[in-house]
Amino acid sequence: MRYKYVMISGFAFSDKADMRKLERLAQRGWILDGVTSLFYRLRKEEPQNLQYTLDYQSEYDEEYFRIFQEANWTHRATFAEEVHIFSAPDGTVPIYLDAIEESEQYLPVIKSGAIGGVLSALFLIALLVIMRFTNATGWVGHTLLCLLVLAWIAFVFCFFPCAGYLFRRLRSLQRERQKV
Amino acid sequence: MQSIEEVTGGSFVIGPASLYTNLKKLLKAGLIHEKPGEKSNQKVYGITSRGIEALEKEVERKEHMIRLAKRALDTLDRGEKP
Repeated sequence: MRYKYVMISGFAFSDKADMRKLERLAQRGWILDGVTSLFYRLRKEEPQNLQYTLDYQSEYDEEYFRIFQEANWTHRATFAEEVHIFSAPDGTVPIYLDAIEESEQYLPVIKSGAIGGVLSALFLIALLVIMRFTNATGWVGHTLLCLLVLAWIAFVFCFFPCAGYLFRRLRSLQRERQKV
Repeated sequence: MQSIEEVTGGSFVIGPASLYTNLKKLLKAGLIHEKPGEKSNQKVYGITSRGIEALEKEVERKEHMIRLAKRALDTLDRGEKP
């Protein structure tokens, strides 16, 4: 069995582009078989015309996958116990037909990202204040600097995805309002 | 999903993600309840008395809206060009 790995571009900003890329690869016979923390794993099969989609659902059970299967959507991979990727033959009814409902799936991700972003930002500010007023040197200074870098990384990884999903949710609401 | 399409004569189609999230929402709100299915892996849902009450209210609300819309249509001067 032949496998190949393709990098994940990041679900918060370019999941749709990634799905289109997977569709092009399926036409060349590379079918999604799983995901690792950084890559999509593809298995060599017969070329297929597939459409891929992605759903956010942290509270899922067997019934979740059964309902998708009944609608002709095959479960291909699950990322971080929350992001599920499905494929279906061209022309299958989409998993969401309502843009507002579709954007509701991002709400738990927005909430957890916002909490993480606020906590890491507070920690970051506290560290900056401590560093400013204590002028710590030696191992204390190095530890504070390491914590500062870690808090910054945590902030970036919470804030930017949260902003990405929030933007997507607002765009869906705006589009729906324009329809009316 | 197929039965929704059949019952509504194809005028209403629902996607699997919408169906699953809406079932969970209805269950959480106590408007439907789980019943044992014929197969062990199958879940069947039934409407609760609270669900029937909510449905009746919703039908009544929609009927009222339709009556108002019909009345508004009747008062329109259809001969007038915009």
